[in-house]
Amino acid sequence: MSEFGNFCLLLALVLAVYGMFAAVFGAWRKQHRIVRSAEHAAIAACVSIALATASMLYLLITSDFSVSHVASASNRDLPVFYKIAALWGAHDGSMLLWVFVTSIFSGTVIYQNRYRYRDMMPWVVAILMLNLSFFLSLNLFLSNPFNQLVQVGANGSMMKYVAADGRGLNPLLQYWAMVIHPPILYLGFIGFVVPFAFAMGALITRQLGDAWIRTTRRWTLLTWLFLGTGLILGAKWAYVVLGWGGYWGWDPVENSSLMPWLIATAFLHSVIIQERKGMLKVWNMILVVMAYLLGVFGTFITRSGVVNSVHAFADSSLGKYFILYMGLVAIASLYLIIDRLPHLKSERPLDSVLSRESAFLFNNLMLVVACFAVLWGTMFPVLSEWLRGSKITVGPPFFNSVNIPIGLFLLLLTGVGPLFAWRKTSLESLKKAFFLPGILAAVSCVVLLALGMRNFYTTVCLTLCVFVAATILEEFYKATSIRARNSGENFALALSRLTLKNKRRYGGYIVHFGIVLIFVGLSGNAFNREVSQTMAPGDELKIGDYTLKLSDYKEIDTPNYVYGVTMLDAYKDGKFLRTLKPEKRFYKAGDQQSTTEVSMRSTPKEDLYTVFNGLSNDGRYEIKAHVNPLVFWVWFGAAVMVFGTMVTLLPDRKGAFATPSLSLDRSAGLEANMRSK
Amino acid sequence: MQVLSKLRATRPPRHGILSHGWHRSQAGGFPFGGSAAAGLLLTCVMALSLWAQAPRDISKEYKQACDRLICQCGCNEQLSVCAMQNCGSATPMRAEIRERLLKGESVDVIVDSFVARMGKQVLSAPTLKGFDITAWVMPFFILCLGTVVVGWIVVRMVRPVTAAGPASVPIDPRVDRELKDFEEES
Repeated sequence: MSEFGNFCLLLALVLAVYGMFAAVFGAWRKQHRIVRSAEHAAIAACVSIALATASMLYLLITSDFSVSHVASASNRDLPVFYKIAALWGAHDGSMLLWVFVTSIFSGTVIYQNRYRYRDMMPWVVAILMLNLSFFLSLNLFLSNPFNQLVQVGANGSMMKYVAADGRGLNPLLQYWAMVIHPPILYLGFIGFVVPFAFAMGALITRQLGDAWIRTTRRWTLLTWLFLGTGLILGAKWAYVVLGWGGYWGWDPVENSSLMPWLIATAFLHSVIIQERKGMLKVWNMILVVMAYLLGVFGTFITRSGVVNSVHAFADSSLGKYFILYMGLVAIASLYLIIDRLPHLKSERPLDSVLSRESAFLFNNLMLVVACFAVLWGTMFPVLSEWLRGSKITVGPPFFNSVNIPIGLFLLLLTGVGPLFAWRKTSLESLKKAFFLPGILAAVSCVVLLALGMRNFYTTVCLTLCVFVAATILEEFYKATSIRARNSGENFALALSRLTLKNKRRYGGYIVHFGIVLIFVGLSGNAFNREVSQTMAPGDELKIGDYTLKLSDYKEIDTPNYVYGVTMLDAYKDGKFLRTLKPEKRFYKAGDQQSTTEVSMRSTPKEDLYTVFNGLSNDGRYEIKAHVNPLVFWVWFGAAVMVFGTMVTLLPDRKGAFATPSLSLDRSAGLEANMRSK
Repeated sequence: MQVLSKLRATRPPRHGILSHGWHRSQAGGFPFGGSAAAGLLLTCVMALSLWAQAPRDISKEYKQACDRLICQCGCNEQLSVCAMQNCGSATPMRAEIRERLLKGESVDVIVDSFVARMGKQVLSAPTLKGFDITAWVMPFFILCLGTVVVGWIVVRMVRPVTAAGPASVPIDPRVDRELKDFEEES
């Protein structure tokens, strides 16, 4: 079966390379049949990769420990659910997953557009197959999950070897959020290849209206959604499994997921301006290239070992190939953009400095600066070592100091931006729009100060949250009231119909509201408390208003691990709440790693979070307790963001993912006609 | 645990001084008033010594020091965050910080000593000296530069105000309808 998987990967590579060259040749010589054969080859490559992935899953489920990836990422006693997750549990298998997801995206795009954009699609296919070929080559020749285990035989020859058992899945990955976190993150990283391919196709064919943006808008939104969800799942995992009481550590691999998300957020906002006003065409091209390259960069960071990270796979030789690929793509993209500059001129000037267009420009600026700050901090240790030979670390104090002010300014723009009208906003209308949210924000600031709040960033953050929430709720209220009055509908019906009539706008406002809730959750960080204590049964630990009493301890043996669980009876102001059961697990397979399983009581106000760190030298139990205010709102805010994004993704009346059925030239001509009026 | 055991070892014996004083008063060497004064003095001295030896609250400085240093086991996490049990790096480093804080050393002195031993990589953030300062300056430099560039673009792109001329081009009804929808949406 491993030979079959290997063969499928090799076949896929041959088909992808053929598809790439055939698409370019067919486009150049305007040979429709050759372009069609390229598309068929691309789809066949996708099927071949799917077969390779299926064979790897079979090897994992049947625990075939003659295969290196299976032996390194799985073991006999692993539950089936985790055996499947072992596909992405080690480096080689995760590359196969990457290639599989890339092939699914590529095949779907090609199939969806099989009768559309006939001028542009050959180039789109070529770019998609170039991307697929690159990752397939790495997977096949440098990190092949189908490699057999070998050992040196008695006669000195290399012999196949079957391990008695595997090393097992990393215990840190044996948690539901971590099972789905990598695939969702990959959907986010990889998805940017679609708008990138269309952008390059638009540049090459000089079809630089915004039809390519309309075509890829839902892809970009979906990709952004997946990446954001992957980030939140990773944060949730860090909070619940790692046991340090936090959820974001500015780890290089975390940062590498955040950067394309920030650029994609900027792109999603600035394309609105191109669609409505025909402006920022060059900027949008640059953003889509950056989003794609940062997605590739993200996997480069994880796999190359260039920076230390708790998430990273072991050092590998892939680094130089990634750098070469990213360099070539960047140079080619830049060349195309510069060469096509005359076709990328704005169709309209800006009408006023006080306009939503200007607000969007500053929004983009802040998002790009935030991305730069994260990139700079992540790569500064590498730069410093390269230039001076000395190692330094850039950790949370740097990222927090730099990104908190930027984040707060972005939060302000989230509230201010929608208050500006398109084209021009008068000072009078701005005063009217700012009045109520401004008053509410000022009142909330005074209340916070009166309640004793003295942390500067928390005060500013919560004040801005009130301001932004007020602007969003006011938008919904005003528009719904007008609709309800005019149509006679009740408020709830008017609200839902209003939202569905303009999904992009009001779905966007829901997403913004989710962001506000996340910032509320983040503001609680300043008030986290923690207490560590070694306890014997009957001892009590006091933290804030809570008392934890160690009532019992048990040790339980399972096939996969042995674990010790402490029973902590939690009281608040003398009243019993519940029994918390933090665990310490020792996994039997592999390196016999240990993990902590946090036990917590979560409320909207605060989390009571307990960790059992094991036994101290004198046989007592090391307990660490945290009280983390407002963390609930981070997860709830993320859920609201997902909901808002789903609203914007809802299909139009004509059907799901409806795209213009006109040819590209006709649609571009119609748009130009509209804008000249 | 180490701190508590050390405290137990250095506390003065409970009865030694008092018993000595009791013997002296039993021998009748001092008047009652003098014994009371001596007893009071001794009580004050003991209270003072107990207070001096009682563990002072170092939690704030401990957290500050642990936040400023990075665990060297490869996890790339601050000492206050690394949760690995019996971590070969974080555990002894945290114990040393605790011990030295109890001795009265300041956070800066402790952190500087770690840097002297392990190099600047043990710090959780770049310093504000030499090349390291570029780490802090660059994001704000890019922000300022970006603000100037965006501001220049905005000002340059703003359309100059001109008098409106008479409309002379007939408007396509479909275009007119779509423009009206567009304005309503805005």
